[in-house]
Amino acid sequence: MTATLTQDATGRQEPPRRRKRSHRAHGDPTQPGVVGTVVGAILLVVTAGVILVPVLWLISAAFKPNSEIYEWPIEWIPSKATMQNFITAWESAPLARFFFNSLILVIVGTTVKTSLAVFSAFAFVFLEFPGKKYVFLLVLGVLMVPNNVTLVINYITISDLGLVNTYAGILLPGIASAFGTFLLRQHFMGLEREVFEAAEVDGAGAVRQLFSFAIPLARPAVVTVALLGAIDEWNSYIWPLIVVNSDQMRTVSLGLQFLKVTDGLQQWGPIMAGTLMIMIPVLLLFLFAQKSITTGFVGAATK
Amino acid sequence: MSRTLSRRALLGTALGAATAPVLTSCFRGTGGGGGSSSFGQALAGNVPDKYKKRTVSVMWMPWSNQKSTLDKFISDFNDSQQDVYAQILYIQDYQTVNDKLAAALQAKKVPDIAGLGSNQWWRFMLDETLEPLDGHFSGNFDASKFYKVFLTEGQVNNKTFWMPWGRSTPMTYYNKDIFHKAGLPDRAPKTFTEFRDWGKQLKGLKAKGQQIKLTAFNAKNPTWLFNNPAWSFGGHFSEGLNVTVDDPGVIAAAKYESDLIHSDGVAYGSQTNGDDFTNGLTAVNFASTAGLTAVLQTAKFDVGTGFEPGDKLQKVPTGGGGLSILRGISDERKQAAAKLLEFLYAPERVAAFSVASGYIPCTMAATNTDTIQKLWKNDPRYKTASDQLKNAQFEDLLWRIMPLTSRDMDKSMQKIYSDASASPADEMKALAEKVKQQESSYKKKYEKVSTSA
Repeated sequence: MTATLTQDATGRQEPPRRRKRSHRAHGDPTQPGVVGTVVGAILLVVTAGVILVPVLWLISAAFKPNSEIYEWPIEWIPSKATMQNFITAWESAPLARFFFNSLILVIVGTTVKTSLAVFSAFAFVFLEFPGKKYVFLLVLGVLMVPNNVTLVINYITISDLGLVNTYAGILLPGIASAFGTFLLRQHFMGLEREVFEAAEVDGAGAVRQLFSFAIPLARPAVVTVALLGAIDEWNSYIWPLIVVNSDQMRTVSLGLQFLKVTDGLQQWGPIMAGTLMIMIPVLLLFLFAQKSITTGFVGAATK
Repeated sequence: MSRTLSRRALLGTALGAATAPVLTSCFRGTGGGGGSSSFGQALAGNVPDKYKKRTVSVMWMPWSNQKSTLDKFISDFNDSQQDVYAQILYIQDYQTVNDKLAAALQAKKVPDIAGLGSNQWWRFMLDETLEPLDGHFSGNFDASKFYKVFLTEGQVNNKTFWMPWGRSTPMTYYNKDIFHKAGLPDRAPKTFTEFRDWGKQLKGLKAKGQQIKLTAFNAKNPTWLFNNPAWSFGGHFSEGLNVTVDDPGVIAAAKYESDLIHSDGVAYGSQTNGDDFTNGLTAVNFASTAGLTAVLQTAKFDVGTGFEPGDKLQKVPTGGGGLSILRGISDERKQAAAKLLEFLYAPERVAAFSVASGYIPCTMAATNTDTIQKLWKNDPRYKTASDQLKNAQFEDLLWRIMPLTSRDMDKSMQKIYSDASASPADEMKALAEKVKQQESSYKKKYEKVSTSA
């Protein structure tokens, strides 16, 4: 691996790179040695353990009868495994309706959120309009305002619009994601300008540029924004708590609360089972799309 | 360029179209969202066609795990008469009802009846948003039907604002097997002196490889339970509107608990004191009477119940939640709500709710129903809570009307439980200072409300 010739999109050649002489007599200095690999592996196992053990405990507890959950030493594979907790959780509350509501909210919310983020990011990067800098600072300002500050004001606005306890009421305050705009803007800024200039010369309008060039080139980032928006919508709790006034409109994150007791001992079995049922869709979604998420974040940083 | 002009025109019209609804909502907001001076109604779901001609009455209840019991009451009510259609919204705990109701009052769209916790209802009382109920009494919904200690807690200036529903007190749970092994008598300790002595007799007994402890104090929310030792040692958290947590009585009680943990080594503070008890790690647990059924189902040993101890005084605090009608709603809605409450307070319903939930039956008539009498005959442990009512009194005033005092005391007690070097006297003095800094606006509101109510 000595000098290499690289060509970029316009065909210019870069001068060859020089390698520094390494101090090692043998081996590649960019690769860790044996000790490094072992230490790295141990750290990875410990970190994975810290993250995974509570989840494994949750899965194990979901299948145990209440009296066995706090047994010590912990029985990881329950000897008296039972599905009763799942049945209790399903019967305590209309979880099917909650799942349906969450699904609608996630699908509609993610679509609108992603569209808004894509359009606004494109405008900030590729279009010129007066006051662009100040508008962007405003968007950044939104990122700095904590949710709780705007809760009551949003509630009053939504209530006056007659949207309390509706899908629109749940979605609207959070529909414009400042984080999504910001992430996509950074990504778009890293795309090759020459491509867009060439397209404009060929007669492509702004919309054509967006759909035929920007989105395909920044696909990992767009997928990331969509996925984060979806997970956010699925898990959102405080706002639906305030704005939902009937069982028909509850989401899954609120529904879990039906299983908790106001005064007295909690029934942990059904609570764990309910939590597991709610976690699974998000886990599956993440598993399918994890590659896109990591490339999305990494791409924005290195470009 | 024609392209930019058309984009600008598009943006201009879009902006204009968007501001219109926002502006109208602004004006509607200042107008008071419902026409006249009364509040709008926060419906808990669509009203079915067959009930469309009735007045709707919406209840917000924090007892969501009693859904099946309460749903049956509501459907029975709707079937039993033609004038009112009742709806319930289940909310998971007192704090969330508090938050939602506060937001609803801001937006002027409220339920008719709210289930408020004993530490929550004063917030709404001080803001004068609760309806005086005495004018609405009829049939079972009447002050004379309720146990005095529960009823008077909800009264201000001899007017009733908050009726008991799911009420509880703490009591002593003990592990009969451990007591037997340690040679202790089969009863709850009568005094704190006795309790401390019994701790010494547990030495050498083990469970799951660990020395069995006398008790685990609730380190999550210690304040409510701390009333019992504080009163017992002759102290008060507040007397009238003056904070007195730095009185010798309260400090002595805090020192007692600290000594049990750090000197005797027979107790500790735990976030899961209930679970520790049902797992056989502690001999005694102080907890709400409402947890009895869950404890009996989870514990693998014989469970005993008894009164909480007392040296100078043997007193326990009341707790749980009750029901209030909102003041700002129309008269028609208030009458409908009163009708609903009259139905709910029928003795057999109060009894059914008590049995299902574990709360103490709050009316004398409910206590005398077959349901309760049979339950007590089958298992006298369920009778302990009602028997202990003679020792019950409501929490001291500042701990009822100021929302943050309990939380601040929780923090002080947590420090005392976990840190051997924390001085109970210093913690209580610091707490008193903190309360004094916050109290002025509450005192003013209280003085206004308690005279004009």
